[in-house]
Amino acid sequence: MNVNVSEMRRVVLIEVVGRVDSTNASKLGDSFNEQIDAGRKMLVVDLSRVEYMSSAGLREMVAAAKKLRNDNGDLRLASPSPRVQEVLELAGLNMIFQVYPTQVEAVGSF
Amino acid sequence: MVEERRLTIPAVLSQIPVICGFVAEAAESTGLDDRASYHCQMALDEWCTNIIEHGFGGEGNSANIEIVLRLEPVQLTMTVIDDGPPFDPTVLPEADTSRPLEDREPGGLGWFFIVKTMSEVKYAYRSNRNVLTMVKRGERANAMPELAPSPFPVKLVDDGVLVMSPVGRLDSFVGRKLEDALQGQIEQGHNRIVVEMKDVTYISSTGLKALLNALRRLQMRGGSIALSSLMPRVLETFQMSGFDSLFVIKPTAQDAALAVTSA
Repeated sequence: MNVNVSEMRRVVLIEVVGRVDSTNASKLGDSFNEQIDAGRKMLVVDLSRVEYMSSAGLREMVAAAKKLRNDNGDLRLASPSPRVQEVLELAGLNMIFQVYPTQVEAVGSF
Repeated sequence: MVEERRLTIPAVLSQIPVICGFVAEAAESTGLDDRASYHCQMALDEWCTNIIEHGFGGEGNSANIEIVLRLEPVQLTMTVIDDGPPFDPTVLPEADTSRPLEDREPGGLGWFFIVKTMSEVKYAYRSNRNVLTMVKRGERANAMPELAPSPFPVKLVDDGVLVMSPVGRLDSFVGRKLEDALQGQIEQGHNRIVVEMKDVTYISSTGLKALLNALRRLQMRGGSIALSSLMPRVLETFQMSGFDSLFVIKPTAQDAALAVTSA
């Protein structure tokens, strides 16, 4: 898994590439926390290049979204692949996260 | 045709990608589609992660996890055995996925995914070991699959039998091309194949291997293959290598097509 972080003026775009499972999910959580600790409140996670994500990855996204919403921020998702979309739906997380078809729309939603 | 594959790994998280690769390859061989394969990877990943994190209370011990895969046509049975403390997941309350974010506990989803995506799940505690058996059944594709691009002439005849007609010398170079061409059609979903060899003037061991691999792939998916119209010299190679006993060989493509349909 690779995590590419682009700090834009208002929004931080976090692009996740590859497989996210219990071996590396905490690294993804660290990337979120780094931004949250730095005071950033608007995070977009681009999932278009995620090949695989287990519940370990979802857990990190849920934990970060919770923290952000407590502080009037949010974590929003962009362009999940069909497999990841299915997993989000199974977990009922598609109702909880705001999910956008493209990165541009997700960034623009804030 | 049932095949079993086994893997024993140390109970550490760094083995999770190994497990996923192992099961993805097996799922592919059974003919399960990508989506079903993804479900199998997740189920095995979630359960093994659970064993490592909770059963053995984290890493740093010398425990092992044993995985047995049973491969049948479009069906994969995954059995996971560990000697951690007894843990029956089937008595867990079902995760409530309709709750708002504020009420969500970050965990508990792993078992939920297993139950939702597997066709069957069974737990037993036997000889001081946890044994979890998960079955994933796929569906056989009913629609006639398209022909994959092929370097050799291919056509569909009665009942959707695919006839491939390689041309020339099946040496180590062309033999490999034949293997790829056959694999391409099998992955496309064709599982009854005739290789018509009327224009094949020579076959090397690579050519034989290409046919043998196609035979194995098809058997795994509940399909079949037959050969037809071999030149005497080519037939002799089959007889000398004993390959004539592995394949159904018929004088004409029509006879071979009939043979794969009734196989």
